[in-house]
Amino acid sequence: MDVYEKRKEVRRKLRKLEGLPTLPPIVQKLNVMIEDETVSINQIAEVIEKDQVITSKVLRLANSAFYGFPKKVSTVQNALMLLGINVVKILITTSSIFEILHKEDVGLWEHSIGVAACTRIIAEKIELKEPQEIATAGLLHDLGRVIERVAFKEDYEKIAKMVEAGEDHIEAEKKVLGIDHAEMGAYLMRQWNLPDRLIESVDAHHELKRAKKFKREAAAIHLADVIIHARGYGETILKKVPPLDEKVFKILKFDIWEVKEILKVLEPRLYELKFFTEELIRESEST
Amino acid sequence: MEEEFKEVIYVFLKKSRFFLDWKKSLLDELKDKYEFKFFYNSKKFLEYLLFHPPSMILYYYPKDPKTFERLVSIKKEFNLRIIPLILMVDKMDFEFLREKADVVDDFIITVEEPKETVLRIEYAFKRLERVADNNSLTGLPGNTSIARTIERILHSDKAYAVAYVDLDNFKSYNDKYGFSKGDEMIKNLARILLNAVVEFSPDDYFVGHIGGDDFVFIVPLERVEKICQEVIRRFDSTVPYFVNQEDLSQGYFICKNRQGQLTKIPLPSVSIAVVPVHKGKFSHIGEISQRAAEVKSYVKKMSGSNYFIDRRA
Repeated sequence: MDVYEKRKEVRRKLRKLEGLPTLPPIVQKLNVMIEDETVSINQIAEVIEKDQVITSKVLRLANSAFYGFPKKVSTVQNALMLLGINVVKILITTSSIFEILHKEDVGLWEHSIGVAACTRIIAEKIELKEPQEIATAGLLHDLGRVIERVAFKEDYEKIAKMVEAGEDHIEAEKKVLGIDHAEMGAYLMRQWNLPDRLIESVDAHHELKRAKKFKREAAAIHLADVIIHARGYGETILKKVPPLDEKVFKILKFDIWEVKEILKVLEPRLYELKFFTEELIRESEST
Repeated sequence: MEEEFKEVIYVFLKKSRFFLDWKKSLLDELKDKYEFKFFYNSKKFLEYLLFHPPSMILYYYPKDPKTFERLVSIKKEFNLRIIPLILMVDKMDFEFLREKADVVDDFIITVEEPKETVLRIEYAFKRLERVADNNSLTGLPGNTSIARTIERILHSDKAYAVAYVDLDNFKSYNDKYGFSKGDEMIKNLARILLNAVVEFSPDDYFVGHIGGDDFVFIVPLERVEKICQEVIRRFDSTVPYFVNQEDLSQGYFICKNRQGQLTKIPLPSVSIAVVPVHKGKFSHIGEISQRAAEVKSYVKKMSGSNYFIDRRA
């Protein structure tokens, strides 16, 4: 099958894709929180914001034609306000989970929440409006990778081998699937009617020129992705630092030395996140 | 409305030879009319229900009573009450079925003639059309039907116009002439809308009553302008029946405004905000009503009866 045909087939499969699984610890945690009357909506939102699959489902539901809210909903906090807690309850009880907790899935999870946190810091620093929305885009930036792992398992193994042999990860994805993970995630997010700001910045997070209206958002995620890889927080298929597009400094209008300031704010955040994820995994293993 | 859209029916079943035959006879009879989706896994069923709510659900209860409770709570919490739910059971258990009457619209005994199932499905849809949400004053379909119709044209290859109609100065009219006169004027507008739409687009139309003096009609795009003109012409020509001679000759009536001062209020007139819908232009009902609100605020600035078609992409 040539690449063009493969691409068509992948897109066809994406259109029908349902039931992305998520990690058991976070689902268990949410189940407990929801039953606890003393837990607030905001606290629940904070936990959901640490899981890309549930976050994408909540946003998808809030933006589905059925609800028809006149404006697009871009953050979990707002979605929960509009949908109400019972909706989340049902969403979580119907969510499928990974049967086994693979090291790779956990690595990607940590990578994603790390990038979300770092994107937020960058967004605040350059005073982009609604930093939580951009953090959400940061969280979802590798959604395509989750899809590859779940729906295109064999292709994913192939890509992983090619990357190990030294091939560029984006090129490898394009060769095998005809589409890379950034475009794949954005494609699904568009199907789900999510806001353009999220879609475009996810789509362009490796190729900044793909961004039209939201260049700064895409650049913020790109830089965060590189920083989190360099810091060694979490793990992706790359196992090394992806190439940095130096245009980000021009787009974000800041000096490469200012990265140091970001790292200073980032480090304690990463400690908190590590504590959070490790405790979650420990709790889930003990039950 | 005429369209290619098929109502979707979700059927939650057990895998068995019996249901294989049952399914076949159902499909033979109805597959041209409805789109069936069969589920055997409860998580998948609930997930589809959430993200793609169907038009009807058939649920085989003995397969999974626990998931049934979830289904009922989803219907409640998500305001999907309107979706008819038909319970499938193996035997007629009077007490059990009586207890389920609050949450279930109908039931089917699986061992009965499959043709009966076909009839129950058809009856349920027809009943829904008739009683779902018609406005008691005008008898026109209400918000649920409006939402369903707009949902349908969003996916249609044909271009449609969604026209939002309301009255200007209606509140003041009500205050001065009283509610029963006000109701008369609403009924008059409903009649004019329905007549004009049926006359100029007999094969393809929808008229709904949102509530109060707010209406919606939906017709093929190329017919909307003519219909708007006709509605306005007819409404303006009937206004004299609803106001007294003195007010009519001066062209306004005197009424207290919100600050309690006496002011001149123009006679009631009609405003129509038209939003054209092409395939793929909107993905959301909310987007259309938001557009309509923008157009409305523009139409409302003009005096007398007016229509405005939103030509933006």
